[in-house]
Amino acid sequence: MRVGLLTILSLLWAFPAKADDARVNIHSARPFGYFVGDLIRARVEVTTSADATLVAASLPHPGPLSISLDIKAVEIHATMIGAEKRWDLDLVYQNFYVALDARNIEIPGFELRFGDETVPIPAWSVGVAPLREIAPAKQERPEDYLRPDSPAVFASETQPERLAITFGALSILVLGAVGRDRAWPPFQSRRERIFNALARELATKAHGGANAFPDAIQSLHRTIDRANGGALLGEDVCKFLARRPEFASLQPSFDRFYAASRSEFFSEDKADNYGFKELLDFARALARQERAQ
Amino acid sequence: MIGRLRETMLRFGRAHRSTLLFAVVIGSALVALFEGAAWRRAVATNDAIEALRAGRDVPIDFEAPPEALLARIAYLAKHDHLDQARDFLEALDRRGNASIRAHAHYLFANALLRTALEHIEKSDLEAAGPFVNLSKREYRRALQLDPDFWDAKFNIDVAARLVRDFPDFERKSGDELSADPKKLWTDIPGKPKGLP
Repeated sequence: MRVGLLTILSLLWAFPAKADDARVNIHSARPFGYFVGDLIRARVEVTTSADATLVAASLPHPGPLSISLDIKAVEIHATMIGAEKRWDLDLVYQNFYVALDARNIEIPGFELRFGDETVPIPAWSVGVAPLREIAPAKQERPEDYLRPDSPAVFASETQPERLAITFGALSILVLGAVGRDRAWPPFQSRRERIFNALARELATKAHGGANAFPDAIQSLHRTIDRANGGALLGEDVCKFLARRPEFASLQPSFDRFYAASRSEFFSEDKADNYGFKELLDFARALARQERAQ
Repeated sequence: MIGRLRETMLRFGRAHRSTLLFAVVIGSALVALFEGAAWRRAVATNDAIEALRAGRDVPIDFEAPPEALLARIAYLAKHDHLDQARDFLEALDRRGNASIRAHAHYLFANALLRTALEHIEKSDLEAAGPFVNLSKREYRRALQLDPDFWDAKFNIDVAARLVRDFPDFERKSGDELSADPKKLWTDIPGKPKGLP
């Protein structure tokens, strides 16, 4: 009777002190069955008043804790619960105690500081277990008690090989597309790229003899005629440009080319300011406009 | 909005198709060259690893890929050149990924423990002690890098039974046990059944 009364009294006495204080809960994933090297995950929940702030320096630091225990990771986040704040402290320990029998080891406690208030986190314990029997079967050589060396690790060949082949094939394919786009052989006779083929041809003849320039003018005329679908005279350039608007921006060059052509073939005093280079530039500009279609 | 954006992009693509195609050729050719070089390096590395495994002393420098460093450590540890193996282990620790480093520390620890066992066989217990402790440290390093490395867990158990660490709590409970003579035998197999 007296004992019961005392218990109730002591509870009454203890309760307000506890309610006033920050409350601490420790949860672990499992409190037993850890081998050497296993990770021990624990969550410490501390409930404080809403305005409490944690002194970060009072958190445990990752690193060796004792001869047989490491702390690997420390993470904390706070959540508001009603008028209180709950601090969730996630801890990952690593056990290095080599047990000979199943027994409990102690995870040491620490103190968290919230401003001036100190909250002690009590020590708790987990059960560790041995990996091998106490007296293993007798082996002939002492090395046989050990697990063997790990096998060699090879560098990965397949990934770079696959990537190199894929990108090599891709660049060859796209190179083909570029050749087709620019009328490189074997695409030189493509109807949609006659100016590209011409520009390439003229570029190779740029350093030809005295006949190179008139020949070049003639081939350009022939190519323009092909694009027109019939002979195109200087007066009809406007009509041609109306039908092929992509070349409209080159009208001044057309006019200059036709004037130069006329003076080259039908006049005595040759227009010497129109040379092979300008002709080639004109052919290239035509090729560019043709490609942009 | 999206339709207009698509239209703009299509027009841009048409106007610059020629240039874009050329850029794609250059880009993919560069990637192909880069990967080709990586492929050749990997093949050379694997040839060196194969040679080291076959027991040929192939020189490897500290800048080699982590796999080659691991193979070199395995070779040196197997042939009892522990000091050289430690240099390579340090080089690997600076660059390798956790799994390869864990394997390297495990190999090195195995070599240390085998040396210790040789000393024990010759009854040279004093020389064996430091090797056992060093091997425990290396196994611990391996387990820190890879907590699921079961072979390392097993072998650290073997090493720890040769030379025990005594954490505080064990010392305490050890004292309690020895105070009770009846409990003295509980851990030892083949407990005498006859007269005490």
